[in-house]
Amino acid sequence: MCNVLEHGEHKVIYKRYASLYFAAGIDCEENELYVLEVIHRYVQLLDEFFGNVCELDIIYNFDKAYYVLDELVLAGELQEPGKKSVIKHINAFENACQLDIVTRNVENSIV
Amino acid sequence: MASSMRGLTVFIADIRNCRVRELEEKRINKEMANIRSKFKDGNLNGYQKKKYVCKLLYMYILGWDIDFGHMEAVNLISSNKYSEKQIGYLGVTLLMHENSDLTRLVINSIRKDLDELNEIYNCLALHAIANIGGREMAESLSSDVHRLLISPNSKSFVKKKAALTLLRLYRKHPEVIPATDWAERIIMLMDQSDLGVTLCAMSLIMALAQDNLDAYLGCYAKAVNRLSKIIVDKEYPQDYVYYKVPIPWLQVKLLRLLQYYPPSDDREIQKKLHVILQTIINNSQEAQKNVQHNNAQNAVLFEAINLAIHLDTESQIVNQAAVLLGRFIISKETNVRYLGLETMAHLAACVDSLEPIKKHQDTILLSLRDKDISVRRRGLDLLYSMCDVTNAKVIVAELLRYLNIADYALREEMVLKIAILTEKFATEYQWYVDIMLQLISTAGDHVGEEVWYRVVQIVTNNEELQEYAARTVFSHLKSPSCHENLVKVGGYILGEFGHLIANIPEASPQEQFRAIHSKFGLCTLQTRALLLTTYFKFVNLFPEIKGEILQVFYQYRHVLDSELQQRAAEYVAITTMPIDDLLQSVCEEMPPFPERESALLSRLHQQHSDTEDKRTWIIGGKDANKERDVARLTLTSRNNSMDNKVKSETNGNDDIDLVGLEGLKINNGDQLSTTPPGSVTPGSEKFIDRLLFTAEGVLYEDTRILIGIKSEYHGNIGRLALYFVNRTQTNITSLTTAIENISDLIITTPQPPPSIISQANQTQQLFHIECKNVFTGMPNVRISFISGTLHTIVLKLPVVLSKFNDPIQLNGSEFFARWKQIGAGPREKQVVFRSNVPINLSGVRTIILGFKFEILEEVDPNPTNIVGASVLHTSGGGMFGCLMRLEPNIEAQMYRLTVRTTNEVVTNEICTLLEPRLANESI
Repeated sequence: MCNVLEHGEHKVIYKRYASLYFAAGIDCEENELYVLEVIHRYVQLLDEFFGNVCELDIIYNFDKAYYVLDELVLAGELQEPGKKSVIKHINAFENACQLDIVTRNVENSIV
Repeated sequence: MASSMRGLTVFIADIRNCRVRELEEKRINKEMANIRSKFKDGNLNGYQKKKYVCKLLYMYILGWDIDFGHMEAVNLISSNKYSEKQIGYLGVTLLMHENSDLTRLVINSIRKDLDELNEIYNCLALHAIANIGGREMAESLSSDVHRLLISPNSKSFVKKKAALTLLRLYRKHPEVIPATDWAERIIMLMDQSDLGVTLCAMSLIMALAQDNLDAYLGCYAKAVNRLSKIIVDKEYPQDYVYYKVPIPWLQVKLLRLLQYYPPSDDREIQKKLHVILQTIINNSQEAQKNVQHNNAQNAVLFEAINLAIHLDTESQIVNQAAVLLGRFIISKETNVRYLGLETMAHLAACVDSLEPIKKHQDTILLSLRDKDISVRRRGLDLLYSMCDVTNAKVIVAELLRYLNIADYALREEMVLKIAILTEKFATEYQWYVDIMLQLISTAGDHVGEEVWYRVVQIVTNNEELQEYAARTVFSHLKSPSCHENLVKVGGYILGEFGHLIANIPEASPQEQFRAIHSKFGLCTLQTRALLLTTYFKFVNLFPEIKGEILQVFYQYRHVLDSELQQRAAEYVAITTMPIDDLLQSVCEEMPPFPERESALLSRLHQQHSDTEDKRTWIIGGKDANKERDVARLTLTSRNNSMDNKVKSETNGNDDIDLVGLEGLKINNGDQLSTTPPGSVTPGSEKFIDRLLFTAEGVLYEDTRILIGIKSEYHGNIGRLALYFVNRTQTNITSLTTAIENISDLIITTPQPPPSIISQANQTQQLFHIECKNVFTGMPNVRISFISGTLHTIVLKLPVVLSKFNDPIQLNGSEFFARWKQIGAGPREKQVVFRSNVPINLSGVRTIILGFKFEILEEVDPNPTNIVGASVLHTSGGGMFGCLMRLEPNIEAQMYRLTVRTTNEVVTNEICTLLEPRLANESI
């Protein structure tokens, strides 16, 4: 099947990975394969971040899935084409979060 | 990886265990009530707030309405814990939309985070603006975002987000962004070594450049060079290679950007583009096994083909591309078939000859029966684009056949397209009428009003059609099942032209009336109203059936619908008048409709919204695209004339009188680091005069940079080198030059300057010059660079007409023979003027020699007089002889200058060049 589905003035680019569908809505002028590979890059990143990602990872950590997306795509445009660079920043943010958790645990134990 | 919030994990697990919707709803309501009461009690710590907001968000993404919790999310934003802030921002971006009143509440927190030194906070704030992006945010935050984008202290990951955030704000509220003022600074971002920043800058520039082509012109050459580096020189970091394709996303953006500009005249750029496109096509000859590799390669390839078509539809590269496309549309891969058809439609929309595409006509017709709907749509569009007089019958027939089995979603568009093609390529009236009536009867409800209106218009305006149309429509009306739209057409056409067929026995007036009236009862009120008018016209055309028709009118005087009732009453009144005068004048034959744009076409090309990426072409043949280009050009030229107005206001009349340059007023000399287009940088004028008659020297200097020039000319060709000396103790970066060309003078550069000049060092750039024909004035060069901040210098380049002169030696008799041959009149110009410096004869001779005149000795009896001769070379206009005579009066400090050349414009220009330099320069 074609990974492009036309919908009025817009197109839906979608791809299935196991039981999950990833879809992006675009203007009819945009380069379809460009977007298809952005989707693939997103899946790669999720895989790298969660380590062999599965549906449950995304469900239980939906907030993280959003953060990873924000690091890859902003205003509908690809933000960073290099994988390493994105991973580096996601990990930096994740560490900032973990640091909070540690701080909270310490605070709790003092109280 | 488990979530750090246990409560959330448990809640999600609960929801997942709900097997039926009712259970889920129950669980959701319970949780909402719980959270509501917790929020009401207040006294929640950051962690608890975060947890509850998260639960709300989970419900939200499951599709439940969330009408509270916004304030808690807003509060979390100001938390000093990153994890809480992050959830706060996520909550705000998911729960608020751009027009939400609540966005006002977060603007201040966002601004605070934008000002933070901690980049992680900057990023969260930028995400929020980019994801929500309402008007208020655009107005109050766009300058903060811009600051983050251009600040030298911003890290590249902040720059990337700032660029895209600005893009989002611009797309939604273009008026808030001063796109032209920021142009140079934003174009500079293309020079960034970080390819991520380059990519984001490209996305931003693409949107801005589409609306401000001139202001962003500088991006064109940069894009070509960047492409050349990636594709030809293979210079890129390894991390940016995606399945063996180097940074495909950036390639696509660059190739797309170039399609927004008209093809460049610069031969060097053309050459480079050719190599780039050829390399891409060569690399794409083989399909790759790996899906991602294949997709990335094709993403670039299809964009490259689109660019090639845009540049020159007749080029060798487009021919090669057409062959590739022919292979693609029979590919096993659905995506490739789809894109192949799409791109072929682009080709069909632009090429002069459709022959290479027609070769694939059978394949394309088959694509209407492809198993994938997206492919079928593309096939339809392509058939529409490739249709011409020769294949219209085949294509239209196939489309009509396909219409019966086509997807419902496609039918209305198909009907429009069939109608347009039939009208456009009809060579026989019968064919037009047959097809249109067949279309209306088979497509039924999918026929828009426009379609049958148009049939009526065409029939009314073409006398030759009328009888055949009346006959055909009559036979359609007699068939037992006849769509209402056809009844409408039939009613109108018989009412107007029924008399043309009334002599045929089976189409007698009575038969015509009965055929229509048998459908009357099944029609909507609107159609019945139309038919009443038809009957009214019948009374006028065929008095013999008046009685039968009056029966209908009488009956309809009493119906409930007021429109029908009124018509019936009026028609009764008119038809029962004792004299027919009024009836006849009311029912006179309809005059032809005024020619106007087909409503069908306007229906098809519905307007797009303003700032989305514009189409570089539209579905349809070459004509449709030409019309569109004309419309686009008038738009751009309107901008240009505005520009020119600004130019003439700031610059006075510099191309008429070069002396004016001396007294040039540049906006009261304030220390702006950017210069508006058209005016030159203050302080540069003093260097130019001398350079008009010398080959090298200083063109400009200030405390940061010194620009020198060296030049040489041979006939109509010249070479020129600019030297840039960095006078500061830091690096100068992003050095960019752009020539503002004037007509008939072509200046190209084989290589842009190296973008960095290290401290106290120098670099140079070479230009090739060709004089195509006589020109006046001189071109500007616009030089920008970053040294601390952005600086822009606009200089006149001393490339004037006399540079293409070659001195020639003549003896006295030869000189006078030519002098007389040119004669007085418009090709002679004589000026008498005062010198502002004491006259020094040897200096004057140097100036005349510098203007490339041979000084002819012993021609003039007075030894102080100077007589000169030269030949001007142009590549397109041929050669022009130039003669001059200068009579200095040393005591009175006056000159009389006489110039005779074989061309009026040349005479004037030489005079204009010589006079001020003789008057002011002392050597």
